[in-house]
Amino acid sequence: MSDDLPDKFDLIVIGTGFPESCIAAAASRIGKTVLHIDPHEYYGGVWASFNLESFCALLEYGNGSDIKNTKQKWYINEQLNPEMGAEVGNSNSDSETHAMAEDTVVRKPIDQQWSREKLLQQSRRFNLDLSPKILYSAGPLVQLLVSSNICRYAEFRAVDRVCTKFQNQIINVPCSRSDVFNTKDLNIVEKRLLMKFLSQCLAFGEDKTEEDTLLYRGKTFREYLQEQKVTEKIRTCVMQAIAMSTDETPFEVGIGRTQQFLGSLGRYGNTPFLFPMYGCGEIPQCFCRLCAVFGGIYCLKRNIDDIIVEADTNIANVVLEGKTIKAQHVVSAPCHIPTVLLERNVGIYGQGELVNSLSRGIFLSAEPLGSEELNSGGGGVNLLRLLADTREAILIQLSHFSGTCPKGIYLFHLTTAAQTDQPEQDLAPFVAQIFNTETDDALKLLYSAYFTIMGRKSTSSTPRVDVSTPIFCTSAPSYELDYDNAIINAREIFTKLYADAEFLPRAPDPEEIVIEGEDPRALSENSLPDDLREQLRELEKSAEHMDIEDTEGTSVIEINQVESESQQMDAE
Amino acid sequence: MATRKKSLLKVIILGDSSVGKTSLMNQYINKRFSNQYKATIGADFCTKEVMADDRVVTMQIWDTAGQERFQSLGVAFYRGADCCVLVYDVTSPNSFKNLDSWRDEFLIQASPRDPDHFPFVVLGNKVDMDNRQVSTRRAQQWCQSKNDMPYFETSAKDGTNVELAFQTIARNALAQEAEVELYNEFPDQIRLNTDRNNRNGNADNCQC
Repeated sequence: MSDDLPDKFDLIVIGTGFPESCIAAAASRIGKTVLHIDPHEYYGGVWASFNLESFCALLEYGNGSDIKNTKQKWYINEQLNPEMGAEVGNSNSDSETHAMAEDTVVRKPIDQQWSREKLLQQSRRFNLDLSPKILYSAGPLVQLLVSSNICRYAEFRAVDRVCTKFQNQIINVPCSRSDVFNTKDLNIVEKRLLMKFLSQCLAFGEDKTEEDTLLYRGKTFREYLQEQKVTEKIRTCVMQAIAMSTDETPFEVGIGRTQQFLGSLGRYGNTPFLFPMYGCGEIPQCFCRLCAVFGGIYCLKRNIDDIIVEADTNIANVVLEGKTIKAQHVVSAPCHIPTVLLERNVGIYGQGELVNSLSRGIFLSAEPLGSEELNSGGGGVNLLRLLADTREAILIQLSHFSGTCPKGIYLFHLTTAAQTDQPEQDLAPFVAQIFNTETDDALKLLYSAYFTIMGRKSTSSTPRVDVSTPIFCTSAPSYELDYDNAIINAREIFTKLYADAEFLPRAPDPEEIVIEGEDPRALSENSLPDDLREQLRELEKSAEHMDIEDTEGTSVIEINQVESESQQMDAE
Repeated sequence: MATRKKSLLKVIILGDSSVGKTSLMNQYINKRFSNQYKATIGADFCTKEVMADDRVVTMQIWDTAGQERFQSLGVAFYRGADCCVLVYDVTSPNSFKNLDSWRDEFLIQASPRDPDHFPFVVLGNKVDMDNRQVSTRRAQQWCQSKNDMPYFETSAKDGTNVELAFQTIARNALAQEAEVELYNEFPDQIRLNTDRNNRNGNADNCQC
């Protein structure tokens, strides 16, 4: 199949994760020839989402070097338990099943509602993200999607609720003005204080030399909050859910994040956040589609054997399943750089040592987290940021409204920065806060999975690397809510490749593309109904006899969208 | 909200490379044809207002953008399709044989709620060519065996049956949509746009 491929490209991109897809789209958009390859049979790499069956298989067998330390556990039986009080049958692996079966006195036993078989039957209703993200409505990814016009390929759901943990309870953080007035979690004084505080935050930073700003320079955001006369509850809401801070977060950073939160409010939903329908695995595919629309060639399930850089020309020869293809530049996801290349110690921009990047947990339950009030309307997408000592984690609860799980199931994504080789241990303090198994009313889990996402620690700041290398390595997902760092990474590499080119200028809508040499108002013969067309042909025939010179009006006109496209760009 | 009429129909066109998917789209939308084959550059999706059953709806026809060439269409392409158009080239028996796998691929990837009744429309393209290899009967038989999918023989070059085929596509997509509407699986979906259609207005935010 590789035989049909051209043997020369401006850019070869290996891996279809977020930064790679972003760079591929940007290069294709400015007219570069792009070949985009992925050794996997799916799009997205460590940014992909999977149906339940493929996800379980991925954890069971691994997919190479980017996902490690996998562990999964079912808390339900293979098949439904037929009757009340019947023996737990068919449990073939874990002791946990028995533990769950014992304390099911209060509710209808979960093993009579759900079984492994029943969940797997609906496997395709699941879209389980390896690297789930939440987007600020005015954040960098939304801005990029809108400015590049890639947003036409995606749909979103507004995050329904932003929550926080206060005194061992999960409470709703009021986001909109009406939320603040309606919430039962705050008293009237607290409501006023919160409104006042938030408006004060908005005013900050307009004048850097302002006395107030100077006063807190070098202090932490927590210290600033303490000096404001707000209650403990408000402090918690602001610190944990609005300013996304820890005790050490500097004042300026905390204010910046608060402003980002406020600036994203009132755009789409009740909260300042969006979640992509069908999961975050859709996002890289949107960029890939733009790349393809502008001529990029896509090949999944292709392995890279080697990359050989020609010493004199600095051209990369990419060996793709035995066939050599030349490229000016190569951009690769960290895990897809061929080992032979690493062994030869070839200079690679952005390459670093392989490290644990994220510790991840995925949980399925038949119930949502927190009170009914927090899940009114069937529970949509809820966001909860958790703190434990100096560490933090992001919990995203998804219901079937997000297109990531079947009706009646709730999907939980827990993410923290990796500390050790054991994601379960890294996440344990957070899991204890939400799925407290000690108490009777604890959330009953159906399934849990843990894994580590690997990444190469980027060393772009330490220029050990030969500056002229044509090979560039992107970064793996880092611990962040939105895509800030991922976009910075893509933009940085793009700028290294094409210094003067614009990064993802707005792509024209299909109807804006003017086809060269064509008057859109002109009626061609094919626009006529069959009978009229016959008449026209007859007329033409008779016209020939009459020796009237025909202009080329109705002849076939070559469509040259690419050229007219570039003309349009020039005109802009 | 639950009874909100969907005014946008998503139609996707599948089939082997160079059977004329993009040309059919171009013929239908722009009444134009280009003899020069280009592996789909710049083709994205086209929108057209159509009248079907006394209703005006916007039909959005999605091209593969060439990603089918090396079997690399991602699942995102299939999301939320209301109708699937399967195209083969009547001069290429292989492209006809592959319709089976394209249909299967669609059902797997899009996993429609009711796969047995999902609207497919099959187009045998390039009937203007002399070297026809797949007979009408063979194609019709296959279509009948798959829940009686509507079948048209088209020419993107001279426009034969193109208008008619797309009218059927619109009508069937609309019928499918009427059924799906009862469920309204994902209400409140948001599309991002520059003019901020979705903006709630200032009353409901906190920027005091």
